[in-house]
Amino acid sequence: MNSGAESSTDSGRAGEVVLELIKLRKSFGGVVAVGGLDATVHQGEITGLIGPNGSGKTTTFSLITGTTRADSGNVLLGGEEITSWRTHRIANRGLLRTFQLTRVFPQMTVFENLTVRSGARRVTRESLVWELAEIVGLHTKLDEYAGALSFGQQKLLELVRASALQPSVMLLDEPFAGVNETMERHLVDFIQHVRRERKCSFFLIDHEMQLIMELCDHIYVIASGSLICEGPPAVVQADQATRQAYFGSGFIAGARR
Amino acid sequence: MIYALMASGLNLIFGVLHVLNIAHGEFMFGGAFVSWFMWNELGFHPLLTVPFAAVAMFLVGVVLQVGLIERVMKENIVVSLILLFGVSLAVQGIGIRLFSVNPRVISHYEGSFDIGGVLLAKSRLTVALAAIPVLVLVHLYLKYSKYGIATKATAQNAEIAEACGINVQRVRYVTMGLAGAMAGVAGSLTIIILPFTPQSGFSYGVIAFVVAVVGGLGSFYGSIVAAVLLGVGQNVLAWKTDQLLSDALIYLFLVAALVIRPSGLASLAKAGTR
Amino acid sequence: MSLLPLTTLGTTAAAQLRRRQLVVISTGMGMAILLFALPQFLSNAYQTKIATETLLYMGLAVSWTLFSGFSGYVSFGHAAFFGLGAYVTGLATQRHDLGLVAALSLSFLLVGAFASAVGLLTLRLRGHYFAIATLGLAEAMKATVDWGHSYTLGTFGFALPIDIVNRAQETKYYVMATFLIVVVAVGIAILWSSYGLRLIAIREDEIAAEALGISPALTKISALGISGAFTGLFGGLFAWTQGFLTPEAVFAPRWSLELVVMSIVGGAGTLVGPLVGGLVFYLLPEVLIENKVILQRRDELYLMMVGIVLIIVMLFAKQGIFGTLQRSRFWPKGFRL
Ligand SMILES: Nc1ncnc2c1ncn2[C@@H]1O[C@H](COP(=O)(O)OP(=O)(O)OP(=O)(O)O)[C@@H](O)[C@H]1O
Ligand SMILES: [Mg+2]
Repeated sequence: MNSGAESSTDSGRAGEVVLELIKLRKSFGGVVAVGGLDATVHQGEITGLIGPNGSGKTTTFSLITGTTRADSGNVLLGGEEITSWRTHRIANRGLLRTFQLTRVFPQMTVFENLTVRSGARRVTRESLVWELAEIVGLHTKLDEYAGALSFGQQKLLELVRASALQPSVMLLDEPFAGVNETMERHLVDFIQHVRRERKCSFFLIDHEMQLIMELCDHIYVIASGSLICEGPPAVVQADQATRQAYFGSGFIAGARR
Repeated sequence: MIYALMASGLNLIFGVLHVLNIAHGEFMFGGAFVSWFMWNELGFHPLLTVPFAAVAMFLVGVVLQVGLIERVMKENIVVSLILLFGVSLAVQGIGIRLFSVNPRVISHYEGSFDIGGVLLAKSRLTVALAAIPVLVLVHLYLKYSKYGIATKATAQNAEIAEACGINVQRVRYVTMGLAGAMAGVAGSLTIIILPFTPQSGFSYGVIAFVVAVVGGLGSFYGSIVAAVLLGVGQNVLAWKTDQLLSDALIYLFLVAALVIRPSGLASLAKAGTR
Repeated sequence: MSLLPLTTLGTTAAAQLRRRQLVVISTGMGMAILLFALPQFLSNAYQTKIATETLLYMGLAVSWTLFSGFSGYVSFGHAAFFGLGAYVTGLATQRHDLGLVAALSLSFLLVGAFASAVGLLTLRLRGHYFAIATLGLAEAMKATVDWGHSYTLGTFGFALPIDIVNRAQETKYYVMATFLIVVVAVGIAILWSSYGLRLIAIREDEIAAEALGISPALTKISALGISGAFTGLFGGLFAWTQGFLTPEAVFAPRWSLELVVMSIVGGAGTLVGPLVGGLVFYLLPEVLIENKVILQRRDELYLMMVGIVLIIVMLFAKQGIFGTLQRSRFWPKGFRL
């Protein structure tokens, strides 16, 4: 682990740095989507990334996974420079993501979606995938085409599919959007389970404030691609700039939506 | 110029409908034979037949869209492609039945002009000059008419265009008709220069594809530039070196253009102006 | 939440899959035996020739499907691989005195390498752009062969050595049947392997596949290589069974188009599809010719009929004949064939 690369000075954050963004920048034409962002994700933590619509959250994820190429800046995974790597190579190194708009393989069954990466033969011997599928209730749908699942179920499928690959870091883009409250509980349990049992760290985007505050150990708030505040939930909630930029004046801590 | 008419029509279709019209050459055949028939049987002046060919192919385009393509709009692009390939084959079959496989040509313009030592066939000059106003007309239509603007909106985002109260379906009908009319004009002009059989349309269609792609799929103006470049380039090459090499180079040019700049000349122009 | 006990979910699903696969394999073997017995029931050499050509078409369509059907990247350029394969076998036997086996192996390997190289250059193009880039490929190859006429023997083509070509029609049939079985077996092996599933994942959503750690470039290029190699092999077999070749004949765009049409109308993305397509598009017209319904391949009635069949299938069975069956509720979900 290259501790020299850790520019972040935030005290009180446990664990080693597993993912580090340094001055990450990307503009589309004239629009600056991400403007020199610095952030870290620590081992075993759930880190939040919040901000208004169009503030550059999804773009940040795409820059990390190499789906979009950064204009400048660096991404380090476990101290290793991965900025110019191909997406699949990054994924194989243990960094996986889910998408804001689900991306399941619609004409493949749930079973195939879950086994596509590792091959049915090997996966059947490992119970992990099925264990995960059972947690979120997908085990009864193995023979359905993924395209026939509801949006919420597709989100779960995507999450299980990625978790089953035993990632060290997961980027979740709005996992709670369009998911009902019971399912929300399942999802929270699921994330906690994967974090605890699989030693996975999370970087999480969502607009569901209460859940973010409850789940996250550390939160970054961005607006127009730049950081306006960071810290543990309590600090972020109290921050004046955040309130104005994001929550609006009417925001009451702990209120839903 | 003929390439320009064909390719820009193809590109209109692709831009608005997201359909690769492999039967585009058959519009050309239709136009060519409407003209030939009117000239040969009814004694019309060749240029006078052009508007008739255009109207006829406009109607055929609309019928094709309403009757067939509209039903597979939501499917993968290959579905409409094969559907149109079927149309193409069927039209060729019917064409042969009606007109046989013998080539037809309108031999109205004989002789050639001598401009500074370069010989230009009268027929070719007439055709090139006739094609330009058609392109200008289409350009004006796209730029200024209500439908033209609706067409552009639909090409950019059909759903939003629909939400804005544009009748997207009707735009698609008109687009197909317009592209058909342009190909029809291309056909009725070509048959003044070169002999045409019911199966010639298909080969012209393939060349038009190349032009359309080099110009940038979906880009109306890119395809016109590409058509002129390719037409001139091909003739110069065929003249300077041998015909065989020139043919090979055209296709290598296509692959190279795609690998270097998949979105075609049009995007090059955009990048340049930024 | 505590750890759940180990489940048997995956195991039962996999066992069920394995059972179905066994049924298919045994049926397939039975059909292979029938294929070898077929010449006994044919009355003359002409019929055997037609049967041989039908197998060729099926083999080609299956080869095409190995890449385009599974990955969803539609290639209109397989005539280039076909023609190159024919030329490699032709020139190897004619100019370099190689035997048939060596020449065919050379076709397989060289065209495989060539196809991979083409893939390397063009597979950065997504979707339609790839399809269109391949449109010009066969024409470019033909022009190259014409151009290098001092080596390739030029525009008018050439005949293969008589001692290699002169074989009983039955022999040619058996060779063709063997290779058809080989390519179908390879196809099934791919389709049921995790490699095949990766290809299909790329067809379904390339970005998601990549985000899961699948390398699209590697997967697509290797698949195009395999597909090209078999197409080249069948090209070589075509040269051998015909005995002569011309650039015009082997690089004709119709090869590319007919492979696409046979495979997709037979059943897009399936292995049975191209076999069905081969029957419908090659055998059926021949039967019609034999019965004097149409006079020759590609006459006007033929064009009209094929055109209308295409229109009808695409309007009412968008997944193709077998593809639509496979998507129906009579077919076990997710069982690919
Ligand atoms: N491919 C692209 N081309 C052009 N602009 C883009 C592209 N992707 C994103 N943008 C722009 O970048 C900015 C940030 O977008 P991004 O999707 O990252 O926002 P977000 O924070 O994820 O928003 P949301 O909460 O709505 O998901 C937006 O202004 C968007 O319009
Ligand atoms: Mg977003």
